[in-house]
Amino acid sequence: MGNSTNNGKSPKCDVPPREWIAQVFAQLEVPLVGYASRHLRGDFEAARDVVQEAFVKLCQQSWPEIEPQVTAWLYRTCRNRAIDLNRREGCMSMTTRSTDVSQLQDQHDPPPQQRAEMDEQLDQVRVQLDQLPDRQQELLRLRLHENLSYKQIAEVTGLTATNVGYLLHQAIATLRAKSVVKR
Amino acid sequence: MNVPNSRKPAWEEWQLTAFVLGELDETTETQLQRAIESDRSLAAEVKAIRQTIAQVSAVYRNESKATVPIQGLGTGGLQAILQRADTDSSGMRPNYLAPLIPASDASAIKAEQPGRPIMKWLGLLAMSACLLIAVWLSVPSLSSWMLDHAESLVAFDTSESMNVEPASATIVTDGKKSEAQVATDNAALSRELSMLQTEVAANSVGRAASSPQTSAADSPLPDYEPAEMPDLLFEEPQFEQVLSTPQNLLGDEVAGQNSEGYAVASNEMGGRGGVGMGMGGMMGGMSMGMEGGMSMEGGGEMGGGEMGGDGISGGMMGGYGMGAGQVESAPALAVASTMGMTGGGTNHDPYSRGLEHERHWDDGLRRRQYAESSNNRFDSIVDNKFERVSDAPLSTFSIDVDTASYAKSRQLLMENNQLPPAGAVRIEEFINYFDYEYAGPGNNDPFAAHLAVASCPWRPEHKLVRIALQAPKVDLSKRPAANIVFLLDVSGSMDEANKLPLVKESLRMLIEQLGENDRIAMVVYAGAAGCVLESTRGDKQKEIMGALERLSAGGSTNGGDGIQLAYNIARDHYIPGGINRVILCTDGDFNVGVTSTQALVDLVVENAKSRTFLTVLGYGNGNTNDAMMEQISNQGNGVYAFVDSWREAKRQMVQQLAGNLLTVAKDVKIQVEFNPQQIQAYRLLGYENRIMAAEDFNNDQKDAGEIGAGHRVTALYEVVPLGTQSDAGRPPIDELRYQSRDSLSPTPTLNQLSNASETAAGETAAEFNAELLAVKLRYKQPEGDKSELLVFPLKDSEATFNEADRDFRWAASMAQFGMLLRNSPHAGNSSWSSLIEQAAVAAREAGDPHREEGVQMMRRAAQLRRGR
Repeated sequence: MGNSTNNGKSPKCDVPPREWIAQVFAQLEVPLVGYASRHLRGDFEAARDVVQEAFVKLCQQSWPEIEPQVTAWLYRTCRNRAIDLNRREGCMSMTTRSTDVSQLQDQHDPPPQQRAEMDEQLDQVRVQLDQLPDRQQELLRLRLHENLSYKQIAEVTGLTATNVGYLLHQAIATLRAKSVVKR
Repeated sequence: MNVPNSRKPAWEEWQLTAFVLGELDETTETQLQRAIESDRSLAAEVKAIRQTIAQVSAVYRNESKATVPIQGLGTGGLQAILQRADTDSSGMRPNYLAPLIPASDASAIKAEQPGRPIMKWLGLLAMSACLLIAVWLSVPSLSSWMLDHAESLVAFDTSESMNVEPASATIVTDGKKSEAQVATDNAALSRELSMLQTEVAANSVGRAASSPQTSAADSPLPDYEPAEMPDLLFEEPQFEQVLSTPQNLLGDEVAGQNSEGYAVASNEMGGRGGVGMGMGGMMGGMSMGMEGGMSMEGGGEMGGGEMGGDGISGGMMGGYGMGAGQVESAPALAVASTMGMTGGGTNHDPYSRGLEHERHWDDGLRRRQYAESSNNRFDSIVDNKFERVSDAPLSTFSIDVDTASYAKSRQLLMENNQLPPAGAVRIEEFINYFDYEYAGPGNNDPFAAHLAVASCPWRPEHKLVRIALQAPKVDLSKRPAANIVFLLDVSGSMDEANKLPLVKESLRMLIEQLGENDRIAMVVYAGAAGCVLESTRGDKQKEIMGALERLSAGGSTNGGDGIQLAYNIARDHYIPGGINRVILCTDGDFNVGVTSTQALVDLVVENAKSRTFLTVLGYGNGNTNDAMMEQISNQGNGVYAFVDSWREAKRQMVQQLAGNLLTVAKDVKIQVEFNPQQIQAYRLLGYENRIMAAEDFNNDQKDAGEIGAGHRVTALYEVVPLGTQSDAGRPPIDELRYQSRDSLSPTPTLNQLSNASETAAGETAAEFNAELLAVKLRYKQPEGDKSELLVFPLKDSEATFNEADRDFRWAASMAQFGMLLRNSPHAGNSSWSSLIEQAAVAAREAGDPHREEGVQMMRRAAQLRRGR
């Protein structure tokens, strides 16, 4: 935003430079595929399609306006598309629970040598995590795994930033209440 | 709830969470930091939260270590994307790909193009990608961004027994193992380690140590105001406030002049190469973002051809961007004062209209206004100001047939004994609420135009110009089949006598008019959205009524999910050539789901493109998110009406049914060209949030209002005849010394802007000179994509106000009423007593009970105003 060199032109003439697209792509491609797959019952193939669509759309966004918000924009676009794909099945399917992520993980058990003592504790946390409401799970993941700020999460999910903060607090409070935190 | 609660003794738990996550604003954070230092239990609490967060983070990290590394699309994927972007964009950027791929090879890619990874290119592209990554990583602000975020990932005490590998805390980039990447990993790792060490001593998650950038990133978050937290009832003034900045072509100026913090912060953000994200940036992106997401859906549903062809990406994008800052093409670009008039567009956002910064609509005032009258949320509106014809000979706006503002104000005045806040008074809706006796079109046009001029009652030296459009009345028995999806808010807040029961009553009135060719479905939303009545034939009244009876209120609202579900059902049962419409009945309390106005708007816009329109019916007093409802219906080619009584339900569902359901023309835009030989300045009354840029008039990509069967639209201009001694429209800057006045004459502008073949050619200049103005209308057929043009010139009639017809006088009275309620600086010598007298005459002549009621409202308002 710091530059205003594009003022005075129709915005649709200014598309993101491909170098920038490549940068963003390099940075977010993998996290986005991972993220989208969670909305697609772990279907990475479909997730890659979703991410590709999102980047194609990104190429058509107005530059430089898109630049500062690209992260949230991409997450949101992927999320919407993934949810739409998922929802195709029918009228009520949108209210069905999304796939239990842990099922996907269990298909790829970590190598035994990595499963140290601390993993047990983490396993407990993971079990608790899986029991949280889907929305809270998603918010935790967006905040702690994808590193998005409250505001970015708000943009991605359509909640308000305040709402995000509140739900995240609830999620963490639930986890705390359930697990004995060892000092 | 908007008063920052700086002296709150106890801290809310969610604040502690936000603190640990580095999401508090600076002031609150400092206060909390101090509190933690002095309060041991608070410190323990924070520590526990931090540990929990650390554990969750660790779970996620373990997860990505444990699973097979996620495969991205790879560099071939990137090429396919760039290639597709190039083809999809219908030649908008012919050279997009050229520098990266040799021409001969580009064609080879084209052949394979829609496929995903193109392995052939992998080597070459991997190389370039590595290069890019290296370049990217060498930008200090970016790498430090990474590190800042790595910090938050490892935000827990090292005293913890957990053995976390710091490297895994960096951004997952398993897909690309470049050397540059490894190098940075190492750098990040060592920085993290030192972070972890300081962590032991510092209570503050290392945030105190982090760069100012971090605080810049975090500070734009709104202050957390704890009072109503559990209700999740939060206003989002900041969204609308900053909506304009990134897209506004004058964004920098806005940021500078508003200097509200958000905008400024987002500027800093921009410096981070697009990784960080300010509120301003985000909201700006919102429109674009949802646009992108939704249009993909459209493409999927309707075949890829729609995607580019609908002008979704380029055109609509412009719709927002231009709407926000379109002043640049108006003749007086540099004159800040014209912006109040020409800015704004469909954004519904006074800040994008912006630059009326001398005005008092600062954030504080907006908030206070929000807080008024029990949770009703209204956008503030800044009156259009006078424009000099020499500066801006064209005035362009989109029509608006909504009436909610009037009904809402009526409720506040007559039931609550309250003056409506200025933001709730939209003058155009006050005018358009009423029936006027305009004749319908005699031919096949979708509407007739009735122009009139008379002297202005509140400023007799000025003239008032009325532009009225009347759509033909349609015989309801001959209406096309309807596919209606009701989207009903059944959240707890709807459980009041004037809400859900009235909704049911309204629906019953409408359902009774449906027949076997029609389809109706009902979706409810509260905590979760669900379909309570699958799309059902209109003659199965028992079934429908049964579903209606079973509705009850309870739960919190998730309007966002519900609206998507409703649109999905409408799409599944789409009737080509029929009435396809989602009717949303709510008290506007979207407090859980897609709460961002822009996200909803984008969803609605997208569906309007596939010809499923939206009607919003607002119910109840209080809790009505007027700004959002107005905006989503405006963008959805829809109607927003407020139903405060059984009578109003009947009006909307029975009398106005045809108009509400049956669109006769869409994207109706009005452009008025003023003749500088006759008029020196003008001001459009109302339509503040419907102003468009002059060049958007001929741009079919720009969305505008729709007009339904039997609907009428009235717009009033206050014009200053040439030679009038008036300070209205006085130039804010002195005459330009070196500009020839001739070059500013409107005629060439007209020729430039409109298609030469469509303008009335061959008439002499003298004939033109006698005209006050010319009204140009553009509209599309409901199913059409290409607009048609109608031109109506107006000559001065020298009529006094009292000689004008009663509809003219009533419309003027309503405008005056609105201005008085809004304390408009343009109200001239209006007084309540003169207004009531003049309105009473016009009402009596028409014999319309609605008008009588309007006069009652004026009386009540006058009393309340005196009582203050």
